[in-house]
Amino acid sequence: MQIKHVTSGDVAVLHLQGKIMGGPDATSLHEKLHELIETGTRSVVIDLKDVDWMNSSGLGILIGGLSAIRKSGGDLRLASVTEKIEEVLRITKLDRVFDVYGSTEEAVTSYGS
Amino acid sequence: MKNQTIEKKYRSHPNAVVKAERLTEKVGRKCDVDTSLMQDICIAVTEAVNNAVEHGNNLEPDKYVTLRFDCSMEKLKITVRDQGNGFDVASVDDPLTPENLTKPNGRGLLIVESLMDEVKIVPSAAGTVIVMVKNLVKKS
Repeated sequence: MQIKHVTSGDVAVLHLQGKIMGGPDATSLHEKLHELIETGTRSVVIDLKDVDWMNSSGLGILIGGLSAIRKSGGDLRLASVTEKIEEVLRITKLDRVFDVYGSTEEAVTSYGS
Repeated sequence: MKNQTIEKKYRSHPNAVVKAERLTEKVGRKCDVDTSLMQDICIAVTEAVNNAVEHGNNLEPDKYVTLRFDCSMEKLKITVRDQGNGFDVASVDDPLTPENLTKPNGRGLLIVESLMDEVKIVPSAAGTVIVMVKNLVKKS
């Protein structure tokens, strides 16, 4: 999995690419999210357009990041989820926990509204 | 296509999940499994191998996880075996209850059972065996 970090105003956007299945790749996503939180970022968008699928390890990292950011008064929002990830979010009922947007732009704009 | 069996052993290291996923992709190509089914199968295999390495074998490097594929025209049967102490399936918390919904762990089994057609878990003092079956729809 690859992580590309870009900033749009006060919003950190992480573009992920590949598969999120646990192991060393998942550790790097966990570290990246916590680095953002520790440096004061409160608005995060995770762009999943190029993520083929993710298992419970990936979901665990996202939910861990979401909980940590919400505790500090911020939020983590998902954008462009693929069909398979949407299915996994539905199975685990995490579609009720995450705010999911159709595109990165929509997710970034949502922080201003 | 002839029936095929492929088996591989992995040391209990977090990297095992990446190796297991690569092998699963390879088996899928060999058995001509539809791409949409392959995503379900890869997710299920990585869940089962993660559980076996981390919770079954507790990342002990002298313990192994065995991954076996039995492929036929009709179905792909996957067996993941660890060398841990077994566990009580009934004691696994329901990840869908409000108090567990935002916990970082505990969703693996739910996902496996949702994506695969048959799932059987056999815990014992010699380790846990999980058998998962996906019915195959062949490429047109």
